[in-house]
Amino acid sequence: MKKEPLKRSTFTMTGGGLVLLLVIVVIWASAVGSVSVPFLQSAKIVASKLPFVNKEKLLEGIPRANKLIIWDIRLPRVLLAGLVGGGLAAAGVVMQALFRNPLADPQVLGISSGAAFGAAIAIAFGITFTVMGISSIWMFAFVGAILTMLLVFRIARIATSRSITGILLAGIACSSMLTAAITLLMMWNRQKLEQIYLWMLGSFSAASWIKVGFMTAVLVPAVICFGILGRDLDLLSFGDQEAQSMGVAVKRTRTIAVISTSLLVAASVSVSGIIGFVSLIIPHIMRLLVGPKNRRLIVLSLLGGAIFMILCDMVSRTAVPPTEIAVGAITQVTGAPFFLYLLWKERRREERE
Amino acid sequence: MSQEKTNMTAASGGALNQCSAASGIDVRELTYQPGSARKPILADVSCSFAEGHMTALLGPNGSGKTTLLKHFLSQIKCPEGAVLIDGKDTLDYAPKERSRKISWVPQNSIGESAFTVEEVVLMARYPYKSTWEGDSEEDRKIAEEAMRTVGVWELRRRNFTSLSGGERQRTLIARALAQTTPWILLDEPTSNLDIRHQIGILDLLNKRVREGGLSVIVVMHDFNMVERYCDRAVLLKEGNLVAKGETDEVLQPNLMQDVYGVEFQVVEKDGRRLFFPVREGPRNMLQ
Repeated sequence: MKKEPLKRSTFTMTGGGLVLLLVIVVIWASAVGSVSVPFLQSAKIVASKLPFVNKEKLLEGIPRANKLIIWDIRLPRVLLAGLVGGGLAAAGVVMQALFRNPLADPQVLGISSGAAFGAAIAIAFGITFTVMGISSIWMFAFVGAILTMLLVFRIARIATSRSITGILLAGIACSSMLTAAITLLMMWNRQKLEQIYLWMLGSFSAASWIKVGFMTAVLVPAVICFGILGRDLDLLSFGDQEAQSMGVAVKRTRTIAVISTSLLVAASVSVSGIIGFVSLIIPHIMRLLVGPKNRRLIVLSLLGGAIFMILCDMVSRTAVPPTEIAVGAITQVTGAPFFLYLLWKERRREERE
Repeated sequence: MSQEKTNMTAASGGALNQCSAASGIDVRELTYQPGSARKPILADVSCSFAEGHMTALLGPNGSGKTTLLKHFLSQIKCPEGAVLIDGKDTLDYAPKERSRKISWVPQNSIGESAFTVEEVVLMARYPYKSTWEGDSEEDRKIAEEAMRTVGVWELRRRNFTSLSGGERQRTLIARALAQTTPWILLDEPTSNLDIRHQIGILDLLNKRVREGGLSVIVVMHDFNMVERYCDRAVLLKEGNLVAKGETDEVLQPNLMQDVYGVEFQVVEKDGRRLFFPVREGPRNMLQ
């Protein structure tokens, strides 16, 4: 029983380290930009909104402009990136466990394409309005994602055996149909082509506190569901039948997992566009660090995904100002080599053993 | 065919039928024919498995043995007939409740996860825990005991996927033991084991059954092992129950020849029968 406590402390230490890193990254990302704010000032401004803090004393001597920049512009963007990154990574853990496939990704459910299709309709037909801070594009994207989710479940029910593969196949079919539809929309609306394409690449430039609140409201219950299902997902790695023989309510687990990941992905994509790779790579990195237990993976992926996304977004807006690089491109460019490096290191370790 | 009938009457009416329906596993007129199948996989099978026995489930490939076990575990929901566990339909059990009654050692595990042997065995404690409950000291003790009994304790830090077929099979048996159920179903548990481990595992199960508190249903193809370890046997052929009862009654050379299409020679040694397949019988199974 010697290694077990050590393993647990690896998890605690990794988790603690990531929490600390997340706090630093949030403050740092809020500090950098076209107007640079000193790190300490940024920390004070962020901390001033926490409860039980003496605001006046903390904010003494900090220019009003800096307060506005950080509080109204940068912090919502940073937090939104963190929520989306963490949410996508946690959803990735659940997807990989559910499909027993290390390449499973929330995108295979077709939800991202549904969101993109909704956004593309809003953009192509010039539907632009804002109700209580909620833009029409965001609204259309979220509704598109939810409708696609319902469609995929329905098709999986009618056309395939009710297995988990059925959902996968229905998702892929819907996804490719919707992608084709988006292509047509872009063809017929050449003048909107760029806008649609940019939306699909993903960006946090339209972040707002309302979006932060919305993402939090979806993320918290979804992550609670993931936590409840964590151990069931561990047992499901042995397949439906063995898991059931050990007492897992397989159908219930699957239903809750698919619905909660779908809602989380729908919300994420609707506020930020399609940002790939985070949901694939972060769970893998965490698995290499702390092993296959899903509850641990969910917690660490949440933190790791948030940190990774905040950093990528920071690069996207500061690398070549005043233009922004699509954040999705950065996640892939930085993520893929790092991922390959980790795989290579893992192989070296296995060879040494 | 007439020979089959005679044997069936001879073999049935034994102790298997006389147990009370309230305890034990009771299969009632079970018929299973999936939509795509031309003939039923199980045809009107009725038999009772009494507690406190090691029962062999025999029959050629495709005779419905695994399908029958899957009904016990409620992995197949069957519209015709029922399987009662301690008097209650297996479909009516909550998953956790059922898995406190029956554990299962599958023929092949598809487990392709990076969990260690110890973590895999500890998974068997799932039905005894609430959602957020961790592994208790008692769980660890039970898992350790199970791992030591089947000889995988030394492998406990290894990844399940890195194990050989035999080591995997023993890990799954340890997992079933750690589930501490009154019933264990094993589907060809010894197919990947060397002879020493085969005897080791079957000795262990047999001992637990004799000590009381455990009942075993095991799919096996080696008649000599059945003769040595199982006191009860059930014989299936093409989804039909052909014989059930004491092992001696079911393991009749002429009945075996009829079911398997292979002629057997039987030799008695130290009061135990040994079966030798001699040659293919009159009916060519491959046609």
